Amino acid sequence: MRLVSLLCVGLLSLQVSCGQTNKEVVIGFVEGLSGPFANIGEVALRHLHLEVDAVNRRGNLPDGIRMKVIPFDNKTNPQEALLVFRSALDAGVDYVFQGNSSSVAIALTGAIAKHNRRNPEHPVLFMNYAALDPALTNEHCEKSHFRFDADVNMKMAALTEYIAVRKDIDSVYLINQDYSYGHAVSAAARSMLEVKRPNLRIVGDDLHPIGRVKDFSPYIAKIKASGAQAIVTGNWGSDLTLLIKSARQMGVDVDFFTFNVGMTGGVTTIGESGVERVHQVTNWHANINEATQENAKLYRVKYPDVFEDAYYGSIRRAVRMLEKAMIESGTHNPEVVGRALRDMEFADDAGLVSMRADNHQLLLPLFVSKLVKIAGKNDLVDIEHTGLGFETLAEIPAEKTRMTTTCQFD
Amino acid sequence: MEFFLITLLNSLSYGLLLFMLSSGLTLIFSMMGVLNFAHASFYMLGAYFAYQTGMVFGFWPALFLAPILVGVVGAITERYGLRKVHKFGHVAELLFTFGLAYVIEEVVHLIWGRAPVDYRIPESLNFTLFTLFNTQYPAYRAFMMLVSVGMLVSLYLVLTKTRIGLIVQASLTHPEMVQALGHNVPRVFMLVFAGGCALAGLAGVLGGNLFITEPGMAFSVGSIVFVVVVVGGMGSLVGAFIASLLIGSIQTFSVGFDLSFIDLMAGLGVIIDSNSSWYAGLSITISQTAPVLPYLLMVLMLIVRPRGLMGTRET
Repeated sequence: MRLVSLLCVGLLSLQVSCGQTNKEVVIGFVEGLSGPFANIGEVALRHLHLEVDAVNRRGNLPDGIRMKVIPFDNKTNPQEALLVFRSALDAGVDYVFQGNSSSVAIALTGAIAKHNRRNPEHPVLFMNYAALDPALTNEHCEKSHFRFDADVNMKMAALTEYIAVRKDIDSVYLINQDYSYGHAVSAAARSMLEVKRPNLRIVGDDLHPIGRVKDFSPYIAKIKASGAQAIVTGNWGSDLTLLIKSARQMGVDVDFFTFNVGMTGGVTTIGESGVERVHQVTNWHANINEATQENAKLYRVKYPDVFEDAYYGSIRRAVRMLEKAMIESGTHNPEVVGRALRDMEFADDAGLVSMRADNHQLLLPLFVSKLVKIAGKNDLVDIEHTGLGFETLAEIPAEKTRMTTTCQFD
Repeated sequence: MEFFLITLLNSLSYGLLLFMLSSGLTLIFSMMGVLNFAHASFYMLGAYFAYQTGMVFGFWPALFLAPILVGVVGAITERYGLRKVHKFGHVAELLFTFGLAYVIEEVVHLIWGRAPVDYRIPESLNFTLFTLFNTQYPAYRAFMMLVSVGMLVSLYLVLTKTRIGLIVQASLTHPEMVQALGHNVPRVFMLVFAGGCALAGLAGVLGGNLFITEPGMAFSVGSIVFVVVVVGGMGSLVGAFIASLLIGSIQTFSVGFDLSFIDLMAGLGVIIDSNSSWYAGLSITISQTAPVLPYLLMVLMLIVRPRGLMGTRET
């Protein structure tokens, strides 16, 4: 016992939480913070800091504890993520936040579930804010995993609803990253477009290595040769900005249907040439209503010197729902908090959201928006000071995004 | 036809960029026998220096300043780093350049951060040069080709027609003799190393804004440069040129082919069932394997002809 308390004193001096004296709940931000997606990781980390600071300022958590964020670099690599998850455990992590790359998320969700089975005295919850592979809430679902963004199928259902009414488009080209998420986007686009627009031709379906292609011009030449009128892509980070950059340089005149173009750098890269042509389906953008505009402005006030604007509504939602769950359950024990999260309803800035108890997928309204010039539209907020912003074309209510699930918690 | 021509142009510009990168590496290797693992890091430094000097002086001065700065860093590296470890043999030299690559990457992290910097194509070159059928060809790519061809020609002329070139060539094969004739051979080595790094820097200036300027850019080209040098033949400038164009076109053209093994078998009348456990592996198309093909070529080359296309050494 003396040994244990000695150890605790030692660890405390290293600012590591320990046993009963825990005054902090540790949020491990296990994300790619170096490599091709480092910039996206840093953007997400800033979003997380903003929300966690707000929680600590409100100070409503039980026993007056505070949240503390520790970043861990997983290099956007599943093996690396498992290694740093061990260091996160050593640092006393209670909640893991991760989202960039579904292959990392699938590795983490398995590792966390295994850890929880073996160490019931120190459970960990996985707060997934952006890994969209449907497998995470179906065949790979775990009780300890919660997803705060809509999965690929939900987003593609919303996007194809909109493509279905665009009768002027009769050929599309699918280009995606070659891993589980990209495969899921491609498969969902194919199956859904077949039903909703049987006469629409899919003139190409490319998969390229994730984070490795620096020159997309060969792909653009291929898209050009296919005569496609629109590109549908789930690409994110530099894989999206470089794709758009190449398309723009080669003067490809197509509509873009994307999941992530509002992410840092996307709009700046595409510029005016994307006005009225670039679309995205998201759970959040700045111009949904007054509340989301306020939050977008808050981000600019908090980070006046950074390049990007607010993007991750899912991080805001995840932290706030976590806060609410802790207050309701009166503890910060992840297992108890997890039970409170299971069927929680939450009034978000973009609308009412609710967590599904059967697979831990959040049901949330989705928005199809397109890029417009904000000049002359005083009620819109722009992105990255480009004078361009997103305007909602269609809102898909939360309940309509419900998909059947094969998930069975044991 | 349109696809073919555009892809041909794309592969040429990519191949020439690869040549700019690998020419310095192969030059240094042929001269000093040092395989510079940090070569791609000098490429990255070129891009960052061009970004930084470009903010002050604009793109055109940066086009000259940045490679010179990279050359200076290269000269310092040789004079105070490589030359010191030279006496401990090739392994020490290799380890030194290997470590240097990491040091440079960390320094770039510290100074410019981990996110990409906003290094853009200058407005004066950001236009469409010509329209082929209905694809626009960006002027910047043509400019890049022009610079690399110009560099190739001047490098060739300097090495074969000038006094400096003669001394460099002589130091390559008969360093003792050159030394005995009163030339400062270590300084020649330093200049060659600096020159090789400056070439990589120039490639960085041109490639950084065409693609992306980020701390990972050295890593992403680092391995392909070695493929070029191995395929072309260690130390052969002409070999590096041929290999660059070859690899450039392999990577660019293979993207265009959606054929897979299954299609091939179907052409032969063998239908593979989609439920077969082999289906996933066999349905991979050539375009999906595009990034792996250069490495495959390297392995084949090492098996069939270890000295490379134009190389002279057997080992």
